[in-house]
Amino acid sequence: MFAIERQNRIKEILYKEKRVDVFELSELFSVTEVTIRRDLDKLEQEGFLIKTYGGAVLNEESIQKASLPVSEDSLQGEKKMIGKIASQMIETGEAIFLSPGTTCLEIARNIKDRRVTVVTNDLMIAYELKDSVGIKVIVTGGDLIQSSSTLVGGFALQALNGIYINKAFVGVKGVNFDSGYTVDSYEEVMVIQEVKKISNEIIAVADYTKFNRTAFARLGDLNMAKKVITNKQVPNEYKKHFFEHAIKLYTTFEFE
Amino acid sequence: MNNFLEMRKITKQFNDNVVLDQVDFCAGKGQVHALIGENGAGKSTLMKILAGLHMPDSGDILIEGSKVAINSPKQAQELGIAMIYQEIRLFPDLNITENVYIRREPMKNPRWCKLIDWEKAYEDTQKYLDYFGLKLNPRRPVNTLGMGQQKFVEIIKAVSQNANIIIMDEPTAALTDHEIDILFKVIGDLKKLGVTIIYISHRLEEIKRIADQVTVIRDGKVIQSCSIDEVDINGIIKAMAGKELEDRYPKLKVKLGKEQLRVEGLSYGGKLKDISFSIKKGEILGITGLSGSGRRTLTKVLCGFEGPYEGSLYINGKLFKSITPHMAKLNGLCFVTGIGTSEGLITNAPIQENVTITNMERVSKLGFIERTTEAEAAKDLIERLEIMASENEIVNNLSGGNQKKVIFAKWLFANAKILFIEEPTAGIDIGSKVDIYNIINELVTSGASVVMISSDLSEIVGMCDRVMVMYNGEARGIFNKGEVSQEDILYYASGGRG
Amino acid sequence: MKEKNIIAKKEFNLKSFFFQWEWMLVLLFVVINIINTFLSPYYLDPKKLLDATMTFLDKAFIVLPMVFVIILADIDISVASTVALSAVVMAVSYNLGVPMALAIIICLLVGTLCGFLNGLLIVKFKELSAVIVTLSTMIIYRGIAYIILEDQASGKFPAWYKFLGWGYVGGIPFILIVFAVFAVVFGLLLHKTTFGRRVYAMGNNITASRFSGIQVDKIKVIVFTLTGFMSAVTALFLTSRMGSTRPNVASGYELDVIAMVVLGGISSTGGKGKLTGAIISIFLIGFLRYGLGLKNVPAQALLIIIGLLLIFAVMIPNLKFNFKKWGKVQKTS
Repeated sequence: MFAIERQNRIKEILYKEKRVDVFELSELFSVTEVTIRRDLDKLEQEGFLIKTYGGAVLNEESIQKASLPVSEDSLQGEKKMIGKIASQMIETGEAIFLSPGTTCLEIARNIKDRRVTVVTNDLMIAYELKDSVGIKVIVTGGDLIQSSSTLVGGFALQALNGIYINKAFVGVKGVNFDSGYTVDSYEEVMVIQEVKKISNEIIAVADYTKFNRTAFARLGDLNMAKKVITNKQVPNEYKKHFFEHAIKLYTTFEFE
Repeated sequence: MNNFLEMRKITKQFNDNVVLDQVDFCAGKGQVHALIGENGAGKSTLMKILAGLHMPDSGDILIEGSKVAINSPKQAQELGIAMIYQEIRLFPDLNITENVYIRREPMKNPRWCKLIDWEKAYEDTQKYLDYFGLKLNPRRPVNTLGMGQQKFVEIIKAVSQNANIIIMDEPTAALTDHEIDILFKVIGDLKKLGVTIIYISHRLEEIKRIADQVTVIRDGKVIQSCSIDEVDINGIIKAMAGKELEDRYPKLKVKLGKEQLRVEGLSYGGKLKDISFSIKKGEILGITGLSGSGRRTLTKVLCGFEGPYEGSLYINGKLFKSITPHMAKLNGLCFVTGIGTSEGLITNAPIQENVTITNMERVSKLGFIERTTEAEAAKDLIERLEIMASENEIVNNLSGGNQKKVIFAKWLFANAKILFIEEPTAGIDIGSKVDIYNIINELVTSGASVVMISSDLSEIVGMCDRVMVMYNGEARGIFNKGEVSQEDILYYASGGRG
Repeated sequence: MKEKNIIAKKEFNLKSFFFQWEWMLVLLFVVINIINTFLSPYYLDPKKLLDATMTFLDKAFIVLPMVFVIILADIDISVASTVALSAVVMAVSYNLGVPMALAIIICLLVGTLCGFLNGLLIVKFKELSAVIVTLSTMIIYRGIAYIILEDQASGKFPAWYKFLGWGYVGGIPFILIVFAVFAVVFGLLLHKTTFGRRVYAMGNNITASRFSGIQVDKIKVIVFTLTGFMSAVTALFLTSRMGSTRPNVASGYELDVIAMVVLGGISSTGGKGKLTGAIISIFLIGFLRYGLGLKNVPAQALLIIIGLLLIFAVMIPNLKFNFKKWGKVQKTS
């Protein structure tokens, strides 16, 4: 594990536990206490924590400034792997839809050398594919959600009218037995509902932290997608549920 | 009704698993009643209940209309029920007569002398042998007999105990065609004696030949029970397989690379006959067949545990005329064994030692093991495979799913490139099952080839790019994904031809 | 999951550490020394105790590889005959004019060859158990020794050869130093190397070892060959101490050696035990014998004591098990 990864993990633990113990951390990461102290020094300089005797506590003021940018960062590896698996499902000549979000962005990164048509309502994804000659990118247009790259609204819905998509990859923000699949805004749900109508296959993508979570707006129940791509850490009860309901659950393992 | 034997509403549960669910089973006097179903359908359990090896949770057993209690094998024997198991259960160093009369030898008078009346025993055995038309000396040691002849000794043993219900579990599994003919003649003679025969078999052609009545069991329930004249083989297969389950297997399409393993005309000691197949990088090949079809033997031969074989084996284009387990390992060939056997794990050792056992050189310098490096390596694989335990946990304490993952881990540690995976998901929880499928996906994605040896047909159909069906040591066919259904596989695995 | 790792590490407890058989042996060793001290005023003399080691350490060399053999769940009862054969061949070749140094090498070679042959027979004829194979070779090796020397003694070795069995280096018996070196080497081999790990793995589960690609036959042959070699080392020291050799030397050594190994906590079902246990039990039995010898206790009485100790050693795993159970009951109540 690299120092940066370890520091990110320490940050996560700090957010959750509010305090950390040098000894426990050194056991956890199997590194010396000196190394941990060095990490804590660095994080103190960044203003995340305040060192105490034998450990550190979370600098509460820092949370307001940056609410969980860390977790997004530390999940990059997981999302990359999801992107890799998704890319293997895509065949030459197909038309796919990529919903907004960093997970679908990773899918885009993995298909740059393919020959497919990508429909998306995420400006970042479109931008990511701007240099890929084999890919035809269609951006829906529409209203930009402030401080994001997501396009929604009437224009977006209109753009989806009259096209046909083989596989739609839908990044979700929450997966839960009760609330089903959820995303951040109702406008996004509207777009996905439209996508469902024109797609042959819906594939839900979500890293493992999205499970047992509920976001603002409901997309549909857990039977909505017949394929789900996530990480190996996903809770066991979901593995069981999907298998028993004949939903193909792809999880990421990495051996190389 | 003139049913000689009747089993009514038999229910049996193991832990939370309902193995038999309100099963009714009847058989008339002098009838050959075939009992068929897939592996794990519950037919063995039903027969073990009849033979007194298991107690039913509920339900009644009636013989000649009166209710009987069978609490032990001894009681079953007294009621005239005998079971002939698939594997021979004779004392190989004793002769035919001694085996037939073991523990109930005829005594000379006066009986308290405890002198065995061997003359009578030999005479009686000879009588039975004559009756069934077997030209054998009753003094011949059993270990000089062929498999078929040993089966007959078991049958004579059963008949001499005045058995009127004989259960035969896959009696023809190890027999030659000629021996099967004799066996069927013997069964015919037994019928004449009024003996009821319950005949468990997968071989549908045989059943057509000798059975009077057929009962099909699936998932612990009786699906069909009718006279043999009323059914055709396809009907039976349909009944056995049930409705095709919706595909739930996370199969990932992987671009195939160059050929990694090629087997040409492989034969081995009569157990394997002229088998040829090949596997490419990134491919999953399924090998299936009923028990005794040779799928396991094939794996053991290819990985060097049995041999020598005839034919050629190419690993990455290199020809091997013979192979040892060590050579197999060095060439990336490995046998990911099933759990619950002693083959896979050293169960009283920690995960760490089980993982590194395949390639200790990787964690040692000059022959000395570096414990910290070893722990690191084990921890790494534990995390990669999502094994829910620490590296110094004793393997015995792990769940089945985690144990299977440890077996995977040890072969990943040895950089295995061609993995023969035996019963990948048998006996493990669904969560781990899903994990195993995805682990297999990752394996083939990262350039390995996988051979799945499984009796779970839906899994074979769901996960494999190609399926090879074995019967009696032969490959009955290799089919591409999508071209073959579970029913087709059952048809070929039961001895059907294309 | 990571949090779990921490718990597992903390679980190491002092109790299970001290409830090891090796500590029992240490305790027993101390007890025996205390009793001996009370029994005889001459016992507790460091010089004499050191000298005493010279009388029993000759067979201790075989204990070291025998630990490997028994961890493999095998047994080698031909060791005493191997000692006799290699000693006899050495004595005869020396008396035929071979230089002593060369004769010693011949001795070691003969022993090694005997062990190698045992190993080869055991792996080639799988249907024969190690007991049967080594029983046969036990008779054969001893028989050859008799044919070579008939029922005579052979000796008249050069004066320097005596140093092996009788010499001191810095006041410490030479044999003790050599033994210590071998003990360290075998200890490292068993507990620190891949070879030792494989031996344990095979003893625990030979099928799984085979299925893991361990070359089980090769390792077995090596272990038996080592046993033969160390038997020859014993032959060297024994002959030096006695000054001459006869075909019937070292008789009964195989049982002494196996007794020491079993008493040392090495399970005859294989896969369990540590070399330290066997080493402690060498000294335990050695000093017991020495102490009782000082009091003129007959040798037969000693055999009874050793027999009782052995039964105790075999029983102990069950006793320990009960203890654990008892501990659990205490915790829950």
